[in-house]
Formats: sequence, structure tokens, C-alpha cells
Amino acid sequence: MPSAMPVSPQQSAGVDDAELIRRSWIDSECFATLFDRHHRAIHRYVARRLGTQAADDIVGETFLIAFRRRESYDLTHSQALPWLYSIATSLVARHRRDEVRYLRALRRTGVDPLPEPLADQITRRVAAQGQERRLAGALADLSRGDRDVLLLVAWGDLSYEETAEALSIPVGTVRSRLHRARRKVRKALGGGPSIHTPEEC
Amino acid sequence: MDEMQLIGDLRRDVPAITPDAAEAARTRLTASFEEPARPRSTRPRRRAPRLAWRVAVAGGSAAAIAAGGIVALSTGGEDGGGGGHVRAVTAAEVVLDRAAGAAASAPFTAPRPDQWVYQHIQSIDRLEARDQTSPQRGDSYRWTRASGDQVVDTGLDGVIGKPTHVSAFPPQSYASVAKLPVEPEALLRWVRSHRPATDRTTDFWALSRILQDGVLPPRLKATIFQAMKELPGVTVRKGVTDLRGRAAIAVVGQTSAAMGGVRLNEEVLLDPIAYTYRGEQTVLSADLRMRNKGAGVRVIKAGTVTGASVIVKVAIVDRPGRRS
Repeated sequence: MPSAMPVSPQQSAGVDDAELIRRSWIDSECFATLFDRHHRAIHRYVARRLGTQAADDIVGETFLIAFRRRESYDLTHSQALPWLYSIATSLVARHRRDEVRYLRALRRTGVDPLPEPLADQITRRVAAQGQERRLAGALADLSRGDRDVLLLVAWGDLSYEETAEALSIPVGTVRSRLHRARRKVRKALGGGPSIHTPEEC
Repeated sequence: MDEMQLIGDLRRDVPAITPDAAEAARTRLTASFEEPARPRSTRPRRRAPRLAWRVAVAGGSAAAIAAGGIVALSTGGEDGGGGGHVRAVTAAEVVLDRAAGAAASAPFTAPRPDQWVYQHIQSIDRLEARDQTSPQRGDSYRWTRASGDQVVDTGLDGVIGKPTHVSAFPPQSYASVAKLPVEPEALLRWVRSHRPATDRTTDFWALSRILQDGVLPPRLKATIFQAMKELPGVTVRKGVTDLRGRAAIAVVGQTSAAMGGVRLNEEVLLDPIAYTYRGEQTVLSADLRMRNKGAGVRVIKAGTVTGASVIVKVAIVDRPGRRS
């Protein structure tokens, strides 16, 4: 409603995400600028959880949903990434069984089965070390809520406050979930089954 | 090694999105901008007995505006029963009718198809409510070809950008607005069926958007104000100051947008004497309580402007880049 004019590319440089979204109420094209800013981060986060093929799809879906909800975006938040991560995370949840299956396969075989677009990338893969395999197993065993918090912090680079915002839970819950998740992962790394580990750090 | 660092290293070398995949996702998004609207469930609407309150306006209801109150008058009733049916005329209706009258009688020259409509608009570029600072102003300049196929914008650096195609909604060229219905109900039907499916805005907001288009046929402009009268919850706020510090009357409508859970109102600003269109602004409809990290709770007052724009100049020119 506010600024009547659309943002041309040269105008969007100094404009924060909230302002872009506000302008997109008037001029949809401004939302494409938001896509340009953040699609790589969202893709990377989802690709680490589900592989690049699923990520390709979820990135498109995330921004489509975000666009449809743009009027409910809280303009007091200048950064839109937590909001976008929140949408992406809810889409990842639909593939939870795949995510857990990939992690368990990595633990079992040492080879990450994440589907990847190029065949030659598979040949570049080396078998994971024992520590990585135990880590994958620990992530697979976490509850969905604990895993979401852990991976938004570790892979999404969100602060506790932003994670709370992304998952619509209190910051205290973020802390307790993160604490529990880290404890389980530490336990799995320290006291897991004795898999042969060539070199430990 | 710290477990967070280990997790951070896991799948670190995942391939980045390919240009093709990024383009596909982007196209999916931008294609949704233009999806045609699905038929909406029509809400029951009150029908204003228009004839009756035209009389009220003709009779001069300045007192109603001054008092911010309502004038009740007998309408005779639509059911033909006559007598006893009393309908209130709100200050908003009086103001909107005056705006419609002013618009209909304003001198007007339509642009030729080969001409361009130049618009200089000043807007707030930073939300006062968000930054706790005075709003920053930004100037935008736009030339829209009257025939409707091109738009040229300048950025803040004053460089004239390349022509791009105009979007379907709101209609931006003179050729497209000249085709709009000039009867309130028909215009509302047109708005509801032509905005993108992704557009969740209110009818008031959509009408306000059309008003911002540079040059409108007088009858259409009048029809927009008439159509606003048909919408529920429209009110008037007096003693408003526009972005350029001028006194204004605000016609207040609802939006579907919110800030921190507080709904925003859209205000159409009118000249307080001539009732001509000045611009618009969005304001908080209620107090917004914001929790600041370590700084307690900050209350942003109802009525705080969260965005605004005013038309500084509109002119019909022969080519983009010219301002008169």
C-alpha cells in the first residue's frame, strides 16, 4: 500500500526484506527480488536434508507459498530468511521418512545415498568415516522437532530467536530441544558401536 | 571435535542449485503473479439505497462531516413499503460522494495512444514503526505508454531503465483503465475477477491501487469513490497530514495486511477542500506492542504510519524522460 512504485533492480539494493515484501503487495515483481536473494540458501539447507532433486522442487514451492502469504508477513522483521526457512522446513517434514532413510543408509553403508543430479558426483564420493556414520545415525534417531531445531541452527545459521520464530515455538523450547539433541549426538559419537575409524580428530 | 562442528561439516559439499533449476523455480513463482483469479465466494453485501442519500449530499451535510457523525434520513425503503425505514448516511459516504463529484467535474484531456503518462510519486522508504526513526522519503518517476505496452522507471540514481511490460493488475496504462466499467457494482465485479489468484488483498485496497494510476478518465475515478461506499467498514478520519505536510481527509478502509499481528488500515487521502485525490497511506489500526531484546516492551501507537505515498506530479508527455 505504501510506496506506489515498483522497485527496479537498481532501487532494490539498499532495501531490506521486509520492505521488499511490503512493496510486493503492490508490485509482485518485487517478490522475485526476494527469490534472487535467498533461493540459494534455502536450496542448500533443503539439499543437505533431502538431496538436490527434492530441494529443486521445495525451493519453488517455498517461494510460491511465501508469495501467497506475503500479506501475513510480519513487517517488523527486516530479515525474511527465518520465515522462508519455516516454510521450507514444513515442506521437508513431508519427506521425513526419506530423510531418515537416507541418514540410516549413510550410517549403515558409509555412503550417502542422497539423490544427486550428476552421476559422476557419485564416483567422487568416498566412504564416510565412522564418526560421520554415527552422526548420521544419531540425526536419524532424533525426533522431528529436535532435528528441525538442530539443523536450522547448524545448517540454516539461524540464531535461537530466529529458530523460535521459524518453528513458532518459544526460545526456551529451542534451547531445551537443542540441548537434548546435542546430548544425544554427543552420546552417539562417544559411546556408539565400535565401527572401524581410520582417523579421528 | 565439537558435535556442532561435525554436524556443520556433514554434507557440506552438497551441490549448489543449478542455473536451470533456479530458473525453473523462479519462473514458477513469477508465473503465479499472473494466474487468473478463481471465482471468489461472494460475501453478502449491503446494498446502499443510492438515490436517497444523494439527496442528503445535495442538501449539504457539511455538519455531518464536521461532527464526524451520521445523518439519518428516510429512504422510502427498497421494499416499497415506504415510511419508517431509516438509513444512516455515514461521514465516509458524504466524503466519498464529494470526491466522486470533484473527480467527475475536473477538467480532463485524454492522452493520445503514442503519448506517455509521467508520474512523480514520493513515498516512505522506511517503516517508521520498524526502525524507530523518521521515515525516509524516496522519489519514484515512471512513464507509462498510454497505449499500454510499456513502462519506464527511473531508479533513485535517476537513470532511466529499460521499458518493461506492464503487469495485468492493477491496470497501469491509460488504454487499460479507459476500458474499466464505470458503474460501481460492475467495477467491483471486475476487480474481483481480474486480480491475480494470489492476491489476497481487500476490495478497498484494490480500488485504492487503481486510484494511484496516473491518469484516469473522470467517470472511472468517480466510480471508484462510489464503489468504495459499497464496501463495509469504510470510515473517515479528519486532521490527517500527508507525506508532504499538507492537511488531508482520510477515507479509511481495511486491508488484509498486518504488522506484528495488528491489522493495517489503508487510508485514501483527499484534499480537505477540493476533495481531489492526494495519495494514500497505511496505518496501524491498534497499538502494536513489540518486545525488544533486553529493552522491554515498546508500544507503537495506533495510527502510526507504516507506509505512504503521494502523487507529486502527473503529466502527459511525448516521450519517456520528459517531465512536462
